[in-house]
Amino acid sequence: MKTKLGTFLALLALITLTACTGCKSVNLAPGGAYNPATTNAAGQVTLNAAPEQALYVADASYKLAYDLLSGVLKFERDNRAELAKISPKIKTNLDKIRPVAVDIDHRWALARAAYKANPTPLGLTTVQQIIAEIQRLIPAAQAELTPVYSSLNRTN
Amino acid sequence: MDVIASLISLIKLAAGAAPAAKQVYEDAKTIFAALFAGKQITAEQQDALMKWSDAHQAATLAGQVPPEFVVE
Repeated sequence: MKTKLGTFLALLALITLTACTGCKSVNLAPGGAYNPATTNAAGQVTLNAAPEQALYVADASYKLAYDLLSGVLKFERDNRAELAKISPKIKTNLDKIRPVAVDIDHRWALARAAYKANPTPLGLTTVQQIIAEIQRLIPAAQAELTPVYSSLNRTN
Repeated sequence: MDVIASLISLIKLAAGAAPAAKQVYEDAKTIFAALFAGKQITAEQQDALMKWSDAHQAATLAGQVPPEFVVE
């Protein structure tokens, strides 16, 4: 269990870096879902549209944040009895995060669907703001695991 | 780049110790390499991310909530 906790804490530190993803550009290979292209019989590649760099960064940022948060919540759920002995309030405190995360996830899905249907700067801003919300949950989740990790360090 | 490389090394060590976190590590490595080292995102990587995002969006809009997000 100690190893898993250490892994999550290390990964959670990454969230500070993902916060800056909205301002970066990425190099998308032609032919991928975010940079669709057509290749003719002669092997010439023609881009079908401008690369969806902003959507790629938004999707990658959201998936990373979601997977990190989901990992913490799943870790607590899978080890609930054992963790409760070390930190009795961990479930109660993470239970405050769970409905917030579900709400964010629902709003992200709506905003992403809207942006894909009609990609406007305002729509992208909405998606980015929601991503920032889920990113802000990560330190709170991390705070719940830190005392457990410290306790395990002291006992080993 | 030194900071990023150090971070990646740290994550690699942590992920190596916990295979369950490897996919998160791979995703993090991919986006950091793309954002900070200009590495190209392959068509396959793009397709995988779009597939996950579309599927997760559809599941969420259909009202599906993974058990770890449910208050029991």
